[in-house]
Amino acid sequence: MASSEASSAHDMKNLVREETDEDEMLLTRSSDIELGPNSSRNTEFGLRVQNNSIWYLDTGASNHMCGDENMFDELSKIEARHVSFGDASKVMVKGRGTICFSQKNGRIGTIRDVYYVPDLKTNILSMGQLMEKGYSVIMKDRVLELKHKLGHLIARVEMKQNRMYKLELRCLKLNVEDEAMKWHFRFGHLHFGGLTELVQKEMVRGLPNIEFKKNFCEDCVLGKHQRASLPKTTEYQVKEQLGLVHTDVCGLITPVSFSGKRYFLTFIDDFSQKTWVYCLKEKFEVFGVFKKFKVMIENETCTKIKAVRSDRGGEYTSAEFMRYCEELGIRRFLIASYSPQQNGVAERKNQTILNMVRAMLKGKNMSKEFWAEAVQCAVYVQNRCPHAKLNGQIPHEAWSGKKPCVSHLNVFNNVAYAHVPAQQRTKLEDRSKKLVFIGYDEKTKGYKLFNPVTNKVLVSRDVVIDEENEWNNSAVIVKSIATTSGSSKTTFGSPTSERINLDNVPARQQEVFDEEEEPLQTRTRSLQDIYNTTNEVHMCLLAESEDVRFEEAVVDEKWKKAMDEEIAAIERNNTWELSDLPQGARPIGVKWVFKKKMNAQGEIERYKAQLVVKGYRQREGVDYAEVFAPVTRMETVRLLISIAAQNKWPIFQMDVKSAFLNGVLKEEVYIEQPLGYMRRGEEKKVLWLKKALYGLKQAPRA
Amino acid sequence: MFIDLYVDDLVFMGNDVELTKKFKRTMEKEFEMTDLGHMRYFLGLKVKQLETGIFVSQERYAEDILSKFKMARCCPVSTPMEPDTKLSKFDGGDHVDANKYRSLVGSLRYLKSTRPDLLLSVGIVSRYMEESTYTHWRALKRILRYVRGTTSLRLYYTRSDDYRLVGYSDSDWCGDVDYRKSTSGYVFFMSNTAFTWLSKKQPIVTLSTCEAEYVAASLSVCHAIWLRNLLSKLEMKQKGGTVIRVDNKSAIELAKNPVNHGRSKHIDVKFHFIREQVKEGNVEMVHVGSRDQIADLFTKPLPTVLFNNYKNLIGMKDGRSI
Repeated sequence: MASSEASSAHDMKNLVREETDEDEMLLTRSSDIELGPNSSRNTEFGLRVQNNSIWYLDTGASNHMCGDENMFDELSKIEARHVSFGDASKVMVKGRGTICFSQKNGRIGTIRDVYYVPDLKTNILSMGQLMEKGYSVIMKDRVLELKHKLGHLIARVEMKQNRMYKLELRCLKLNVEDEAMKWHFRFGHLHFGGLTELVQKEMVRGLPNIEFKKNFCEDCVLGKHQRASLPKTTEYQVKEQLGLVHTDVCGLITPVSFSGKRYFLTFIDDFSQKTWVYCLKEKFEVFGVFKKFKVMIENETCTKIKAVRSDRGGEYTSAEFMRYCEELGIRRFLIASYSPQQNGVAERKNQTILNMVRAMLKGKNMSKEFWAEAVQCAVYVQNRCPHAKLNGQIPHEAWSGKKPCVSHLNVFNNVAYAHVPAQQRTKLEDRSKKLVFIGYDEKTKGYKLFNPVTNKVLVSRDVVIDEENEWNNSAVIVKSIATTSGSSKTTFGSPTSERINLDNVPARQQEVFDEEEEPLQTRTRSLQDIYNTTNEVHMCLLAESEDVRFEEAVVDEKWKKAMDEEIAAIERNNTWELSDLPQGARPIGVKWVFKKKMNAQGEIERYKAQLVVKGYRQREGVDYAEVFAPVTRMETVRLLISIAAQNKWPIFQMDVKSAFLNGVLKEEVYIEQPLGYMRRGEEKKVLWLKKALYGLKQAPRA
Repeated sequence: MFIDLYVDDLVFMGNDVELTKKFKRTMEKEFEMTDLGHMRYFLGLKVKQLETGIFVSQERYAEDILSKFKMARCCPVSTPMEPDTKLSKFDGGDHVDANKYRSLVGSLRYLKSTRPDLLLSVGIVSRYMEESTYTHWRALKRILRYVRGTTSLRLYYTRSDDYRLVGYSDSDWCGDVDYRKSTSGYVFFMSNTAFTWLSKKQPIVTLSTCEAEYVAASLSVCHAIWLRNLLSKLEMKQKGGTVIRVDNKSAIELAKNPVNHGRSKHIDVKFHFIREQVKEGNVEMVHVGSRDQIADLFTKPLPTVLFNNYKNLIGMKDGRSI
């Protein structure tokens, strides 16, 4: 150990002057001598406070003395001792202890038997006490050398101006009073129960047999704080209907339902576990729905809602909601923030509902937009399912005291045949229509059925259900679009028309619309939606230009004909003349562009080939001079309209057919002969443009 | 007969039915042209010609903007900008997507063609295109909410025999909090409906309301001269000076009396152009009460009542109420 100290001695802090010939220099003392065999502390503790202190080496002092209580690592109080000074004054000694200090090599040294003298402002190391321990002190040439009994140097101190020998130590203080705490730290903040177990069962050696009392350790709290456990049973037990109502909003659910609903709101009566559900578009509707629900439910039961438990969502904690509850004396149980577990009943219900909805939609391949109907249906069913909290009852019975009949239950999205009333059909018409079952109507004793062709919901009690078959939902939508696009007058093909109305069948009296889930009657869908859900021919409406290459086009009869037409039109317009290329002129390339023109139904109307000039090859000043086009000011347009209005003149409008351009070119422009239309034998010649062609810089003026 | 040409679209009208027919035939022969009959759509403006007058609107365009920016279902408001709104370049808040901001401002700028009521608010928000923050974006959204409630608003040009050009010129003072520049605005009428208007931040900082009004007036005088030239080319030469109504008496006096006053001596020479025009009788400055100063619409955000009043005066009608 001595050798390891020596090896790192050269960088010790207390080294006043380093001597190259004598590298065995240490601090004032080495730890291994002072410490007992049991406490060889050569690891540094994390919780030590360092403060530098000045120590004077004093031959005239009987003991080591220190005036700062905080510097002591261990301190035991002693009484009735005094220290006498040169002026015969006496000061009290309050205790005796050990001081730890850090050596530069990371070890910890100790000075034992240091008196604690509170009145002392400086710290004194007694040379006599050091010598008792076996150190040797050599004072020579203004330098004091402290040597270990084995002979190596511990410190070399130079005499200061005032003829004192001053030594600086970095004192360490352990922040623990308790041995138990120390071991708690050493075991990496192991909990005290663990330490106790280690001691009691003697699992390790060297751990002192002390009592590990539970102490407060801030680092443990900051590092290991866990959430408080939740009670299994609630304190607030209700014995009657509406004693407590749990409520929660679930959402945002995508996609939005057919009527634009994005959330659903549940109310659960704690006594009976009966659930009511409402679908919402926006969260702010919660307050209105709650008022509606309250009136409805209190009227039904003749008791009042006593308490409402909800989370701290803005919809529940809004000023108006709180005031409303206050005025009606409804107790509010809010959860602590970030503890949705406290609203467990409602949250669990949401999970149960959504599980059921997912299963129902998935099981029958229903489109997800039907979720709102499925939620209604799921809650209807769940009120007729057993519940863990109710002993042998279902929520519906616990609520109303009657056992309900479930023989009418049906599978969601089954094909259902609804009877058409005699008033609405002629003798030879079908007596039934094929619809989809989507739920149970609460108001009438009947089934809610969805007509996928007209996109309407109707309620009927004369229903025959086909349990085997499901309605293929994707086929329905395609079909309804196909029928609509054929007959409706909407400008389907125009790029500005973004919506089409799916419904073009007049409403029938018999059809009753559900309040919660609005009818799908005025539903509109964007074109993009339709493209996404169908793979129909409408896709090609989006295509502007065809990626047809000349090599492909020239073998295709349709395109060939289109090119012939274009060349004929150009020549009829006297656009160019075959000529020789003058000296110094550079011909500009031409290119064929192929387009399919569509009509409004998305069918190909015409194949169009257009010859364009590679205008980007033109040079300013040579091939063209100016590029602007005549435009009018908006103000002038309005002025003319104003004048026309004042004079009652009709305004007419004309549009230049853009087949070709009429502008006569001032500049001499030569173009290459178009591909496929080279004059035989005159391939070298170029075309002298008299009129503008598309692609030319002059085109806007022409 | 007047012909108005925009690249390959042209509109024309005239008092001689034969002449217009002949023109049509000639054009069809010379170029391959399609006769679209009565003017219905021109440069995005929807024109509706009735016995009583002509409506010009951009209803469809406004709806397209709303749905493009997903505001088709927003709550409408009655004015495009709250009174006393002071936007600043240094308004806090996160930066918003510059492309989206600029695209929306650009769309609204074209909407101004038939919507002078949007002129000021769009002008203000477009000052912050460079570093637009959330505050500016909110102001922009409010304009959209206003548009949502007023898509059917349109200009209505009626029949009259009054070919007199009348201008209104107004200015606020130090409306711009960053540079302390004022906003000037003018609007010109023939008969009952405005047809040309402007709202513009002044190029200089002015020291008094009078000076600000004076600068605004000189802008409107320039425009009046151009309009007079245009009208005389259309053989509707204005008899007498064009009346420009200003609600600041000292500005009028400043235009009439070519004396240098202590407080006006610093005014730039170019703004004294107005004096020459007044002297030559091309324009005439007339005082108007602040209540009837229609150009007020183009200089500061107004409360609902005033705003609606000026909107009526400018000749805007709600398409649904007709």
